[in-house]
Amino acid sequence: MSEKYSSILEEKELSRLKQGTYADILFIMLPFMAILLQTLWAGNAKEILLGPELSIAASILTGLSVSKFFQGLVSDRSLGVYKERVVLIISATLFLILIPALIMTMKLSTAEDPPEIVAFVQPALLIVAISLYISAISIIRAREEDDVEENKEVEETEKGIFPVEMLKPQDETGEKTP
Amino acid sequence: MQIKSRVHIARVILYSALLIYALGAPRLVMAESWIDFSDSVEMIKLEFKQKTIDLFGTVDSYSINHAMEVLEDIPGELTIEQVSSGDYEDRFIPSSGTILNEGITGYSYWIRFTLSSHPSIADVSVKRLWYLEVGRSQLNIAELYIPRDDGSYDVIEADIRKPFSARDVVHVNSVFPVKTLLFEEKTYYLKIRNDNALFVPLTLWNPIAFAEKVAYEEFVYGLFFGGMLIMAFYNVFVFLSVRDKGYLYYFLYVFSISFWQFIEHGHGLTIFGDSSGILSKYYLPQLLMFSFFMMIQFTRIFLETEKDMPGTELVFNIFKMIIVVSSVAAFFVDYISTQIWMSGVSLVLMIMLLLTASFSWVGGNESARYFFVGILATVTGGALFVGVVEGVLPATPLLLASAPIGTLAGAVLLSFALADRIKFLQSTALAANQRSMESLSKFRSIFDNAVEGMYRMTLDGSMVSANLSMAKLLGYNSVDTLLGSGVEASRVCYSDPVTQYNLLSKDGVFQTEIAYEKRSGGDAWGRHSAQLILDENGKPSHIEGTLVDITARKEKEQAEREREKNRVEKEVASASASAKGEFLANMSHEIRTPLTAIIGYSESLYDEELTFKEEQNAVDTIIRSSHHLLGLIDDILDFSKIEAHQLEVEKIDVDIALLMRDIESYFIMKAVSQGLYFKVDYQFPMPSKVIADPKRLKQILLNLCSNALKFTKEGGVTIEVGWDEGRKLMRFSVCDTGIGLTEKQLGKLFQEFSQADESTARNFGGTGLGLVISKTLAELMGGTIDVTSVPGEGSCFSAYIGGELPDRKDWISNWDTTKKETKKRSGKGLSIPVLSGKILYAEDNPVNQKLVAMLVKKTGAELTLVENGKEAVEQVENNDFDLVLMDIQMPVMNGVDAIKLIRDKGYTLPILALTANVMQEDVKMYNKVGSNGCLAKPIVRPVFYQMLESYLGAEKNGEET
Repeated sequence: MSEKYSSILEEKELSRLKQGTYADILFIMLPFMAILLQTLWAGNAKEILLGPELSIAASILTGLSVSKFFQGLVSDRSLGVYKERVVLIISATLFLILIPALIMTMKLSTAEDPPEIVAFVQPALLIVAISLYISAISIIRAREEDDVEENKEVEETEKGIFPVEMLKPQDETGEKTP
Repeated sequence: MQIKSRVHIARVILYSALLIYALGAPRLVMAESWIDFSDSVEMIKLEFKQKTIDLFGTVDSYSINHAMEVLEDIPGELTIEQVSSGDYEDRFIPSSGTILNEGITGYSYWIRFTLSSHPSIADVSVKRLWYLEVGRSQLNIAELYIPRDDGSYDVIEADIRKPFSARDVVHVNSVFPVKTLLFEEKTYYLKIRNDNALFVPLTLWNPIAFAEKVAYEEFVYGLFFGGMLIMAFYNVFVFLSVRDKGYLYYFLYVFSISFWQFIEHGHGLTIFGDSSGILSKYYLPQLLMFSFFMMIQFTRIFLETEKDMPGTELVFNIFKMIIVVSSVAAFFVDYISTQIWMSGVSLVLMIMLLLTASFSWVGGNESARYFFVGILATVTGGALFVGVVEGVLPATPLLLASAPIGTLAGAVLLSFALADRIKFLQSTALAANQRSMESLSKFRSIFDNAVEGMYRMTLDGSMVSANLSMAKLLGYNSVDTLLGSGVEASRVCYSDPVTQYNLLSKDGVFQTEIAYEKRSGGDAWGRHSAQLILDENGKPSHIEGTLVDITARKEKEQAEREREKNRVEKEVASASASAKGEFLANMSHEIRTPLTAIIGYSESLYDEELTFKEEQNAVDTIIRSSHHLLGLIDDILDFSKIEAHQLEVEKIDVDIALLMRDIESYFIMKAVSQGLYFKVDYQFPMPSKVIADPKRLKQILLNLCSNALKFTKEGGVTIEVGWDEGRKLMRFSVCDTGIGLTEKQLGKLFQEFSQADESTARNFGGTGLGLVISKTLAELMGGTIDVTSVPGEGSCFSAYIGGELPDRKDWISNWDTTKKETKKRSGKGLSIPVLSGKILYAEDNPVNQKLVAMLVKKTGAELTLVENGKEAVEQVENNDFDLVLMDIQMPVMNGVDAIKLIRDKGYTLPILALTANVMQEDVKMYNKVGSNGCLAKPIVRPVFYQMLESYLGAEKNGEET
């Protein structure tokens, strides 16, 4: 198979992967979209930026991302080599996104006159959370596909060109020679 | 850490040190004065904590920052009356000596300062005019309260609420005219509020110095904006030329950041008028974000982050999304919050750009060095300005302008970086091109010096490239001659272009061996391989192929084949000669045997002492031997026809009963004389007739029965006649109880010139042609001959002949009807007929003349003899004959020409050919020229008489009479 053709297939696979991930995100954002439309209907566009909904969405996506990272770390043996790095990513995610998003959710839920800078911080958190979720899904699925390929290679390697029975000593086949 | 990385870090430190040194030198100079244009003006440095500013006319400017007191009015609701009443005296905080810098805040501030005017030699009147400049543009509130004598205050506004055209002093900053009288001391109040960073250097200017300062400012801004625009438009033109998106993003970044600076400093409103609301500071965040966006795009393209730094690419993309969303959100959020957010975004972006550039540089991207320095210059300019704002650095004019200067320097360095990148790309492309040329040269060398001929041709069959070997193989002197020959060379390689192109289209490749004539002369062989080359879209582009010289191999193979052929031919010839030698020996024996009897008995007839019985016996032997000899000659003739594929058979009804009676009568006596039995076994039901050639069928049966009797010493021969339902053929099985045949003998049985073995010929005689002829005849009649045999017990030869007759009514199931028919037919008999009439016989051989004369004489007919065809024609013209017997091979005129001439002259009398040339085609020719029939030599008397009787018999004559 030519390199060019392989590259096209990879791009198509990546596109398919992204489309699936975008669908996940859209479903997660679905209730918030309803709230957003309701808010817009009421003529309070600014409240979208100052309400806690965006932080809640960011929290959900970040939580899902963290769970995906953990899932990858547990299920993928090859990620063990990078476990410190993955743990760092998880910690950074918790520290920089999840905790601020949760705190902001709590504060905005109770604050009557929130500082308007949250109108910038919340969308930024949500964007980072979406990007993180897409990255997490991409990494996990890419690793899963790599595993499948590796397993195939391992099977082929183990299969070899000779029957395995031929290479085993007679004792191991079950019948002990006197 | 790698040595290269350490070198880069050392470079960074060195450049930073140089930059700080460069900025430090002017700081020492500029600290002496705001404007050091000449020695005639100087700036008064006020002592720390001095509350009153003593004004002298010769001084260019006074800094208010050191002598002011500041009251923070958070809600902004205090009035001048309240502030000046003394109730808020304790909230006025004396200046710390630096410029008022409250950061980004929406609070209002009251600034109080006292001016005291003193005489100087430059004074021409008691009144002086000063300009109080608040060093920020587009302040939300800038109100100067000037005390009156009655304790009230005059208010002058110079903020965004008041159009520039209505202001007392038109300047980008808020400038207030202040009039003083000698020896007069007044306390002024200045109310300030800004929805941006509140950094307000306050300066009191002498009008002349202020004008000079404005001119200086215009000059500096002119340089800045001019430089930025030059950078922007230079690179946009480069973009239009090279179409590199990096230049476009650079242009958009430089243009937008310049425009941002232009508006941020208030030039938008002062130049284009207050009506241009879009040029006010409230749209600066969107403009700055657009600038950042373009900077990120420029960085991505320049540093190729998508390819080299995928992690950074992700961060950049996130940052771009945040910028876009922030730009939209900024329309809904208050200006101060936006400014705070933008400050954070700017800071993060600058750090990110610096890190990205440094990583890229360390990673081996040489073009990133100018980029890094350019970003560093921009960041440094901003950092120096922040240092001034924070009071870390002195507020010199140069440092106050450090942000635009840094931006300009950054823009210049980034432009250098782009040029350097293009240079780097060019050098890389040049090196790649050089490598490609070297590779091309190597491959070209391989192509040119290859032993195999190689070529490349268009789809319409014109060779566009070929190597010297290709030219030599096809017999051309040079490649140019080959390529100039058009499709001539292609036709050599593609003998069947349509089929071969279809093969190429289907399989992509094909290989064939071609024999061709070289253009320079001589034949050659080559193995031609071709491949269809596709373009990027998968469509046929051209054809490439090779031609390998295989002439030597082919010649060797040809020589080997010829040697093998010669060997085989020699072997065949040897075998054939051997077989023919045996055949000739047999034939010689077979012919000499009857001839010995014929000659011997014929000579014995001269002996007058022979008795009648001995004479009769001698004549019988002569006749029998002659017939045997005739049979031999017939066999040889038949075999010759078989060899020439000219043996043909008739397909007419054959009466089986009559046939079998003749066979039985022929062999019964012979068998009895040998002490054997001979019988016919009919297996009913069977057809009374079959479609076959009666003469040839009889010949087969005679041959088989002769062989059976020949090889049988005891017992006898049985002919089984019946219908084979499986094969739908008539079966004649001749079974004997003779010596039988072995498997090996059976294998050789139907081969020409062969007998069971050599001893067979010696013991039993025969030519070895009989079975070959019989089987061929059987096959011509739609059947075959099978044989089964047991050595010592006998053999059974089964001849299958003809096919089923269409009508089953002709089948017989018993013997009676057959007997009757047989009797009826046998009742005809043969005898010498009594004839009348005149017969003309043309014959050149006197023996035959005598024989025919003797035979005709017995019938009573009148015979006239002539010796050639010409005489026969004359006789026919002059006489009235009833029948002409015409020999064919005659001198003067042959029989065929004579018959034709007689017919051409209009004579219709019957003419019979009497000749030894009785091949089927000959007989057809006789009939064609006008013969009524043919009599074969030697003359068989019954047939001869029967034929004469049919023309000259009594019945015939009776009919005529």
